[in-house]
Amino acid sequence: MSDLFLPRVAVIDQRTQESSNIFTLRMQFEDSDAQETFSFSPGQFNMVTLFGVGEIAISIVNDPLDSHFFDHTIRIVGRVSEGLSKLKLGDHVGIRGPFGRGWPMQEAQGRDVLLVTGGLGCAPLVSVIRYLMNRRDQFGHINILQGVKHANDLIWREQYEKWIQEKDVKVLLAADVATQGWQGQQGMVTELIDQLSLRIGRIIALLCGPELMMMAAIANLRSLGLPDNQIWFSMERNMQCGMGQCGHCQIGPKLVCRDGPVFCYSELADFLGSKGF
Amino acid sequence: MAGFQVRTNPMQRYRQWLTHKLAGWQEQQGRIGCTGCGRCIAWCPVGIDLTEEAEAILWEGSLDV
Ligand SMILES: Cc1cc2nc3c(=O)[nH]c(=O)nc-3n(C[C@H](O)[C@H](O)[C@H](O)COP(=O)(O)OP(=O)(O)OC[C@H]3O[C@@H](n4cnc5c(N)ncnc54)[C@H](O)[C@@H]3O)c2cc1C
Ligand code: SF4
Ligand code: FES
Repeated sequence: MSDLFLPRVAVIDQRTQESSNIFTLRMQFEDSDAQETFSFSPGQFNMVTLFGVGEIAISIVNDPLDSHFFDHTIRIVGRVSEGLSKLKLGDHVGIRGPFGRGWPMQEAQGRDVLLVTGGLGCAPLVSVIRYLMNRRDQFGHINILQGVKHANDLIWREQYEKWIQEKDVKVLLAADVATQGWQGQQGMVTELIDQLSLRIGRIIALLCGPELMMMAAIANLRSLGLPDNQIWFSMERNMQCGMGQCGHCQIGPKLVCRDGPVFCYSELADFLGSKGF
Repeated sequence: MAGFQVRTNPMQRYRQWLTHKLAGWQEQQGRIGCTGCGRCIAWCPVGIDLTEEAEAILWEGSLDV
């Protein structure tokens, strides 16, 4: 049996409360060999086990250069995520992974990168943003469009402020519900696309968020002339095995855990938004 | 999953059972998902015959659900 079926024990090193219902756990494998050999690419995920409760798919939010630990930023929505939120430093979780195919960082080399995230979907893109910022000279202009439901949902504020300082980096924020002091705009994240002067011929677009939001963004980008093979997005499906064995995560002919979670639009154009797939 | 159910009605689940076994599985696992044992036909409580349904899909050429 492959090792990937077996959770390996990781120890919680650090816990950060990001908002009222979002927290980040920094952890490392108990076994130092396991930690040293653990390597992943942006967009990949782990199956995280809360012992005795269950196992859920969670993105890795680090730059792959972070080799001594890895971080999971988790929103409390149910049984496992809530249980994980109660863990303390030194507690154990089980980790299987990394799984999946991440973002096309090779294809993105030398291009302008447009990142669009909405709703709850920011975690899978954070690793990319960190990757881009740590290798700024390898990429062109970077535009980050971040939409949130409620202004209070925006996490990583300080990081955004740092990223904005970088050369040729733009960050636009939109909240469906703005609050006093909100520095972004009110409305849909897809509306922000029209406010950018994009160099369409040089862009690769990376999207993440609710499917309806991604479909709206894709329609918008295609109407601007962006070719299908420069549009990439991360999908979410119910996952059990995480490694192409059980079929829970399928969409049409693709297994999201194995063939994705990141897909090129040209691979999934027939199935994205198709009811029941 | 992400706060929503993917296949909300029996028609979509029925479509999934058929096309997953016969079509999706081929790309996912490199072979067909039905061994041809016939048990589902023999024991189906509502008399569904997989082979008849596959034929119907082929001739109608539409998966609209
Ligand atoms: C590839 C991949 C990467 C992911 N990365 C992350 C990540 O980095 N951080 C993160 O917080 N989550 C991530 N998720 C989502 C995460 O897997 C689910 O939130 C988790 O499975 C919920 O499990 P639970 O036991 O806490 O909730 P459950 O008890 O399974 O669900 C409780 C209720 O919450 C609803 N629900 C379930 N998931 C969500 C959701 N995502 N949003 C809103 N409502 C939901 C359910 O419909 C149900 O009604 C990812 C999912 C995938 C497939
Ligand atoms: S014929 Fe046998 S293998 Fe094929 S679907 Fe029916 S029960 Fe499954
Ligand atoms: S989660 Fe099992 S096949 Fe994808």
